[in-house]
Amino acid sequence: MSMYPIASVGPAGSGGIGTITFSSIPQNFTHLQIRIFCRCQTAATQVPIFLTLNGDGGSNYNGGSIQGGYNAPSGGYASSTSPYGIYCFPGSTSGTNYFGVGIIDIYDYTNASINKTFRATAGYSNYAAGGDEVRITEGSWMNTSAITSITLSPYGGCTQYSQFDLYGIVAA
Amino acid sequence: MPVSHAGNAGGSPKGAMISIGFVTVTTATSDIQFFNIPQTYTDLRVVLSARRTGANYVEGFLFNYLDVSASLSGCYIVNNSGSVSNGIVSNQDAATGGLVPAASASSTIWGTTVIDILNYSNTNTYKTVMFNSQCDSNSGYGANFLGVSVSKGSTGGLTTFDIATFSGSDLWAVGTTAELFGIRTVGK
Repeated sequence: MSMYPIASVGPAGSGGIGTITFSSIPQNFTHLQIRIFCRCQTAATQVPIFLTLNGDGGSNYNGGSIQGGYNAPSGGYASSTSPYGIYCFPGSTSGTNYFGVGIIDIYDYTNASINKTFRATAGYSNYAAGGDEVRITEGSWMNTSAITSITLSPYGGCTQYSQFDLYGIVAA
Repeated sequence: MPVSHAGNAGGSPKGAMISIGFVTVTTATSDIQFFNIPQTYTDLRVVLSARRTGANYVEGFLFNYLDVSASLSGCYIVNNSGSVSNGIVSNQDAATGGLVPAASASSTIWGTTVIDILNYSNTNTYKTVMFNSQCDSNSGYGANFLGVSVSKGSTGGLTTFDIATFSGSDLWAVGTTAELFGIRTVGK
C-alpha cells in the first residue's frame, strides 16, 4: 500500500475558509484519505465538519458513531441525512488556539457497483472545559457513482491555520 | 534508552508517507525517543508495535512532547476487556497514549498503536495529537483506545517526543518497534 498526495487546502489565511472542495479527483487510486486540522468559527465548543460527496445534497447518507471524552461513551445512528456531519472539532468558544484533528478514509471510491463507505476518527481536547471529545464515525453514501468530488464544510467556516489534505492510496 | 535521530529519507522517496525514523527495543527500556524531527512535512504518524514487561494483561503508556510541564490535557474512550469508559485529564506532564499487552498476556501477542500528529510544525497553533490503540491478550483481556491530547504550553514546532512507560520497572519489551513517518502533501 502506498499513499500519494492529491490536493491540499491551507493553511487557511486570516479570514479562514468557508467551504473546501476537492474536485476532479483522479480515478486511479484504490482508496482516499483526508487529513484535517481545523478550528471552526461558529460560537460553540464543539461542532462538525459536513461531508458532501459529488455535490449530492440529498438525504442520501447513513451512519453511526461512538463518542465520548468529557461525557461518558455513547453511540448513535442517523439515516437519510444530508450532509453528513463528521465530529468533533472546536468552535470559537473553545480554548484559544485549540484545533481538532480528523482522518477520513473513503474506501473503493471508484467502484461503480457499490455504495460508498467511509469512516472517520476525529476529536479535540478543550482542556477539560467541556466539548472535549473523540469520535469514531462510519457512514455510507447511498449512491454507486464513482466519487469525483468531495466537499467539506466546517460549521461556520474554519479559522486561520486550518489545513485540509487529500491523499490517494494504492493497493499493492 | 532507544532513540532515533530522525532524518529526511535518503534518495528520492516516492509517495506521501516517508519513513524518517525507526526504533527496535533490544534491551527492555522505559523510553523510546525520537529527536531532531525535520520540520518539512505536513503531519507525522507513529506506528508502534509493542509489548510490556509489567505483570498485568494490559498496560497504558505516556506520550511526552514539547517539553511542557503540567500543560497537557486530553480525553479518551476505552474498551478495556469489555468495560467501556471515558477519561478526561488536564494539567498533565504527558498525554495518555493507549494500551498495550503486558507480561500476563500470551507471550507472542503484541499490540498496535497509531499516533497522528497533524500540522506539527505550525508555530502558530497548539498541537493536537490523536491516539488509536488496540491490543489483545489471548487470555480474556483486550482493549480498544481512541484519545486526543493538546498541549497549551507551547506553539512551537514538534522536534522531539518520547513514548514512555509509567514506571521504571514496567518496561517496553524486547522486540517492541516504533516507526516514525513524515506525511507530505502536494508541493512538499
